[in-house]
Amino acid sequence: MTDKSKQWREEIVALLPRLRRFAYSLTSSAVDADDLLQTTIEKALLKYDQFEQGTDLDKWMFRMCKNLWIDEWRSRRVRGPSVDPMDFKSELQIDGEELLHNRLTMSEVNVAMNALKDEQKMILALIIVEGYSYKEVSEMLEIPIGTVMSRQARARKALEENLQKQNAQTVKIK
Amino acid sequence: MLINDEILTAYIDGELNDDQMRDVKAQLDNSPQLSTRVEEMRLMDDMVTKTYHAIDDRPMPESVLSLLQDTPDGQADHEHAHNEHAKGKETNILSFKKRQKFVSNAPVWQMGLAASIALFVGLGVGRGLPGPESSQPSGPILAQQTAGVITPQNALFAMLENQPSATPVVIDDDLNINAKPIMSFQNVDHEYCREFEISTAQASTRNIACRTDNVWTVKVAVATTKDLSIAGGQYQTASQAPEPIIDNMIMGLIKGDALSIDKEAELIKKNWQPQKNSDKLP
Repeated sequence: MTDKSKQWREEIVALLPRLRRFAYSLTSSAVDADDLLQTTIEKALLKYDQFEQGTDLDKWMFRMCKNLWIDEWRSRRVRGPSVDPMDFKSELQIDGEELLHNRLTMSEVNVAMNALKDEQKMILALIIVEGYSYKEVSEMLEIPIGTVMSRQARARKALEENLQKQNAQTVKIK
Repeated sequence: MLINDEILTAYIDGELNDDQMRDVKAQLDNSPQLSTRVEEMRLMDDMVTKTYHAIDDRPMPESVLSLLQDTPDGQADHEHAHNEHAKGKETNILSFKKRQKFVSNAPVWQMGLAASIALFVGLGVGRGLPGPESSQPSGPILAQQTAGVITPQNALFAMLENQPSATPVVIDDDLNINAKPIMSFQNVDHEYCREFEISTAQASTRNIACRTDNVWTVKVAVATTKDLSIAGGQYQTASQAPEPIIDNMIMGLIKGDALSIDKEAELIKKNWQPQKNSDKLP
């Protein structure tokens, strides 16, 4: 492995947690997220020769993950969103009831996110979870910055409505 | 300015220019309804962040790691990098990611309950770290630091403003006080924050300070001691290592990831000023 290639791989290793969370927000399943992550890394390694020095690696990687999801992955996904509250682990066992509540809420958020359009999930994940700026997101998703702003507002609203719908259903069941 | 969801969203994301941010802030101050709306949106953001950070608790799949480190060389290099991180000689970014593995997603208020006030070295005046041989606060630096605000008159101010992470600096030669920034990040309120350590021969504190209105405000300080015989009731010691406590605080505060060394260097050059307006939306 050349020094350049080694450094490039190390930079990808540093990006893994972010890419993995992004994959998780797209797939809504931790297992699928890891599969999508793996496919993304495999594709990136195959395309190493096409990576131009000076290109922003995180934008390049996120774009690859997004494209794989839209073009190849979405249609063959079999698992549904992870709704098992035990999937959402927390190591700090302070208050069992509170903890369970948090886990339930996390699975609700996951289900509500899963019901969003892909473009909305992506924007929420990149801005809210990863803290990218609108400008960075516009470059990653290849859309104008004004579209990022309006899409982000619509996505927040849609997620809120989905969560409210879920709450209303929960109350009915009770 | 007419406030709608788009403007509120951009406000929460810190994407308005300074004038617009001030305008929205003023309108929020005068409208309980609007400020409740912003609170609700922020709560939802917190939940979304927590939900997708939950996957951080699962080990990274070996199959993925092996794709990227599939040669003996690569492995050796990785370990070398890890050791360098441990020695604090290189970027702290990876080491923070490693530390994240041990961090729960508990919100800050829960930490408050769990850790209890005892863990937080008083942010009130007069509860500084003791000096090397007395129970008196060791000079104005720590006394001011524990008062919560670090102004330009304080020696720590220069350290927070100018010192790259992982490079220690002597704050007071006579009292043998050293300080070292550990990492930098942006918080959910879009302020820049730094985790840093202050140490004397006997004791040290791990702290987080965030920069606002041209001063650094200490958000939390956790003390640990190297010599348990130091007493005097001047400060409380952590009943566990301070790192997990500080990490939990950071997890509760952080927006995105820790800043890269390059980004940090750029911010140091620009005196930690927020992004230029030209990068913002009109």
